[in-house]
Amino acid sequence: MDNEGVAKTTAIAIVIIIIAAAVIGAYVATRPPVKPPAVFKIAVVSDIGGRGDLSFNDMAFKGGDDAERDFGVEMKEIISMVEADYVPNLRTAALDPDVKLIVGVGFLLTHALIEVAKEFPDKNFVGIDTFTKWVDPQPNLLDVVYEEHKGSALVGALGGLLAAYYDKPYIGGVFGIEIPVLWKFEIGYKWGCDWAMGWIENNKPEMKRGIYNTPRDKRVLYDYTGTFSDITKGYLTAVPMYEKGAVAVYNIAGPLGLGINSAVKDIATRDRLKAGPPFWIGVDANQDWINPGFVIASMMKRVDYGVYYATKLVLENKFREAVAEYGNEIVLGIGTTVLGIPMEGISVSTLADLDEFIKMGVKAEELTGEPVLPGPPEWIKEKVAEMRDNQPAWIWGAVAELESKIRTGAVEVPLAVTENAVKEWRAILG
Amino acid sequence: MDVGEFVRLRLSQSMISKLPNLFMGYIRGLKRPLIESAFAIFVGLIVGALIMIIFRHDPIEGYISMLKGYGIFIAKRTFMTREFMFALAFATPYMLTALTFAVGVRAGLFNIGAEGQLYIGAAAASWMAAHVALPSGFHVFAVTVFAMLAGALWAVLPALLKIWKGVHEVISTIMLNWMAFYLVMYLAIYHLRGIWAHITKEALPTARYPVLAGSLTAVIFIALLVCIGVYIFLWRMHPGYELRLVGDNPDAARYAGMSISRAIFLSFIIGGLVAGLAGASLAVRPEKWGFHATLGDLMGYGFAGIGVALVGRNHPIGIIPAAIFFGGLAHSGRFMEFDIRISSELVGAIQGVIIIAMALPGLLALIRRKAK
Amino acid sequence: MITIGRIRLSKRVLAYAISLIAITVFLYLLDRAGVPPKDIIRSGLFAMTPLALAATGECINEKAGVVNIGLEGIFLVSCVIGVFGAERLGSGIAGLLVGSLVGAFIGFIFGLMSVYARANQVVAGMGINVFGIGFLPFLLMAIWAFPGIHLVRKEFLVPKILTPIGLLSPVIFVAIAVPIIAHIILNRTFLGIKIKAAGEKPEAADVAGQRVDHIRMFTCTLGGAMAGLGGVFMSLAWFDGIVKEIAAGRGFIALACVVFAGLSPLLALAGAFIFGFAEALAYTVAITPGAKVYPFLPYFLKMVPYIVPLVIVTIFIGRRPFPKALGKPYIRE
Repeated sequence: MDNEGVAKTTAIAIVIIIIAAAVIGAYVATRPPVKPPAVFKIAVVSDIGGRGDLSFNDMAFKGGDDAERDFGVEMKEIISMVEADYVPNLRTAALDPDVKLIVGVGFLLTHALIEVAKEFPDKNFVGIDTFTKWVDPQPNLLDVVYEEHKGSALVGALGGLLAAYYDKPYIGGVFGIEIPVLWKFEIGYKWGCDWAMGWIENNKPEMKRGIYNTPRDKRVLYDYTGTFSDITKGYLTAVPMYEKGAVAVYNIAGPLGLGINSAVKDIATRDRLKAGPPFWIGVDANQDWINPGFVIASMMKRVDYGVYYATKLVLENKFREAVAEYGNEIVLGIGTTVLGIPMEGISVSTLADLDEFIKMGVKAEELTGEPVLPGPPEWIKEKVAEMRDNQPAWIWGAVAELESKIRTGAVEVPLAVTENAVKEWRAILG
Repeated sequence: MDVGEFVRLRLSQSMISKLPNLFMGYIRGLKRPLIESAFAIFVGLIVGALIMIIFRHDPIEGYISMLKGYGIFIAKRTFMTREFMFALAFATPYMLTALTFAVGVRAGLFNIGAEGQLYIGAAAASWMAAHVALPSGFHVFAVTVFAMLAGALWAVLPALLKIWKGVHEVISTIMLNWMAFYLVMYLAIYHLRGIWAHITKEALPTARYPVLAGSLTAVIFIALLVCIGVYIFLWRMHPGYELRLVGDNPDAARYAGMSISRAIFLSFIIGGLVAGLAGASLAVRPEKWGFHATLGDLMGYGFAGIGVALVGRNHPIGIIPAAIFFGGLAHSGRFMEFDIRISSELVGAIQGVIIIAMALPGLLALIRRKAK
Repeated sequence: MITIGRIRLSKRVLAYAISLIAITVFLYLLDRAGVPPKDIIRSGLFAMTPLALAATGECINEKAGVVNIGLEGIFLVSCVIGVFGAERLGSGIAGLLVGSLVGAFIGFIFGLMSVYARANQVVAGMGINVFGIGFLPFLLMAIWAFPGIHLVRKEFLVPKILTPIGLLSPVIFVAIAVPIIAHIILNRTFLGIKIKAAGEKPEAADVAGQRVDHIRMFTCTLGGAMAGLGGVFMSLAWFDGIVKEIAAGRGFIALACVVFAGLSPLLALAGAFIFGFAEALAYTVAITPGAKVYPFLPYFLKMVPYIVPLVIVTIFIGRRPFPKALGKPYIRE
């Protein structure tokens, strides 16, 4: 009994010591300086992809950063770990009186945004890729959607032309989970490849080789891997694609690009290549810097512009006007305008875009002193420029031609978001 | 001594007239596990505080924000029922998947199949709720039962493989979890969809559980009833007693002429039924009244349930507070991130440390022993 | 293990022979069908490596009576800190060592908790997983200030080497050798007997003068080191970078391999390869245009890597004994 008493005392003593240590530690620890309260805050709520999906979540945060820099607003980030987080995350942001604009990133937040927009009618909400317009439109809720099919058509054409030039039979596509947003990418990509074959027939008959001779419905090797996170599956899918003779593989699954990249690197090491082919094609963000010389281009979907423009609309008190004017949805794409101001959101990456993204890497390197970019910035830019110059000018010319035709409406890229439309197009294009 | 064991002993010794005594006994029986769990949580919080200090956050502010997840707003001196309801909404599926694991452990199994059974249950619930028209009142009942049966069906295969071929449940349930993942993804995209191909069709109004607040539905009452029901089954009914004996001491159970196969089968089936209900609770809830074809709505609850069950000491009643604790933890991360900019990732790491500390119920005893 | 009856032995030999013939025929058919098996084997070997390493470590660990289900968490943490080590020390090999050391450290802490503090091993393992899932992306931000992803420069990688079946990582050979060595140690050495005694009859081992706690601490640390090597393999020798969900549930598949093998390191290696091969095969078949004819077919193909091991374990392996004191803390009275 006495022993136990001693033991208890010891235990309590240990506990007290630990508490004391924690409390002292807490006060010793430097408290982060308190920022002066910003009058205007925006909140960005990610979907479960979170930070580092290399795609739209990261791009949305980038848009917030840009808005912080240019408009002096303050951005609050909230990451969703599970889907049940969406409503509470949006509410948490809306409950802050300083937060004037809440951005939900990704179509998965559609219903959650409607729910919370109803609860907070005086706050402004933006959904990236959402379709609240079709479910239950709210006067304070704006969908920002993108013309991914058009951008995908451009890189599809680029891939198809490269395959013809290098006399390769296929192009490839590694997709995430089979959802309608990705159907837009898939059909656009295949359509772009098909358009390129028509272009070759009319303009470059000597390039009637490689992919041109592959049957029309077998030119694009693709698979829905069923994941946006397991990069092993990107690798396992890309390896046989390149082995079968795909000249370029389009990454439509965020981080899975790293798996595709690894497959490309294996081939480059084996064959001692300094630059592609084989190539891969980036998506959403500019991914050309990941492996300079082997990423032919990226289909850029400027989610950052969406956040940036929305902030601007709110600051200028034009947000509700825009919501009403455009029926709760603005489309950012090729040649699109909002309230008379040109606001585009889709493009094939250029060297200027590359610079913008390298700067982010340089900033991180300066901050940490650790290597973030795969090499010195100048080297990356040189290698990318060199790779681009090494492709014949007529390929870039043809892609530019397609872009201007899309811009003027001379051609219409199919927008497949229903199962029937996808079935129809798959019957034609594979 | 185990809580339930204690209660059973007490029950056998005492009459109903001694109920007050019994209650006190129950409380006394709870005392040790409660103190141990509280100590473990405490250690976890301290280690979490140290992590916060290392990464330059104020742990006191951090924990004040964390309490918001449980509805406790210290700065405003109020209790926000609505926030607590959100914590309960997280707790509901945890409770059920934890029960699946706990019933497995009680029969000596490491049944981690809740994840897959939950997917199947959700698909079944979604189909019954959205694609079949039934009279109101009965519809909700049908959805619940159908989801539970579907979950149980997915549990039959590992049960049979275990009984017939001795295939260890860890491998069969992990593999079946992944099979369920791709099967339900396919079903959701091609067969369960409504207007939107990436969301299963909205449950008909007749099939919806009443909403209490936010995404908390009346399923929580069913979940609580199920916990109590499983408790009664395991501790007050003969097959349940057999099941536990098989888990505790298979040799003794065999000598007593009990069927080990039956106990294993029962344990899997109960687990499947409960996990199926968890699936229904996630598939039929606001705001969508369906689930995304990416299965993001359903993923992770099965594995989270393992931690909940173990913290709840694999006891059907102990699971209830454990689930609420974890539910609050799940809800609190956003406040820590929003209020004081602790990145959500660090919040996850701190939660991991708290769970690790929960593994140390013996720590207090150890300290005592060392002190001797 | 010596008392294998004559009938069981011959049955086993028969099974080996049949599987060998079946595999040969299968590979031949694949080749004829235009799906070159060379690449599938190569990809399969990559996919096998982290599983085989972690599973072998865990086999030894469980033989000594400790269950560590935190393999996923070890994968994640070691994969980041290994890269950090490689960049600081300037070499990929050093990175591999750092990664294993990190794994060993986590294993050591886990050992302290489960051996001395009588922790519930499963809760502690789950805690390691939750911790790792959160800590990896946090470290990415803390070290490189770049969210969710980090690319490793060429000079810090473990170079892949060219072999007759294509480019392979040297770590793959380690992953093949380690289970064989582990098998020999477990079955042919005194250390192996001590380990198994600690898992089967800790009291007896104790009476015989063995320190059960020391043995278990050793296996926990060793198991952690091997899982750590598996984790850092993925970032430094396979993908040349980190993403936040780089393990994507492979820690659990490694656990399945352990159970598949019934704690035999050689069978764990086989299980890991079967899984890796089936996965590579399924994803190779899935890209052939014909696979899209029926919408269900691609989804079915994705289930194949999970169906195959389950079928194999059902038909060929079945019931296997596990150590009696598995998962139970042993305290000297």
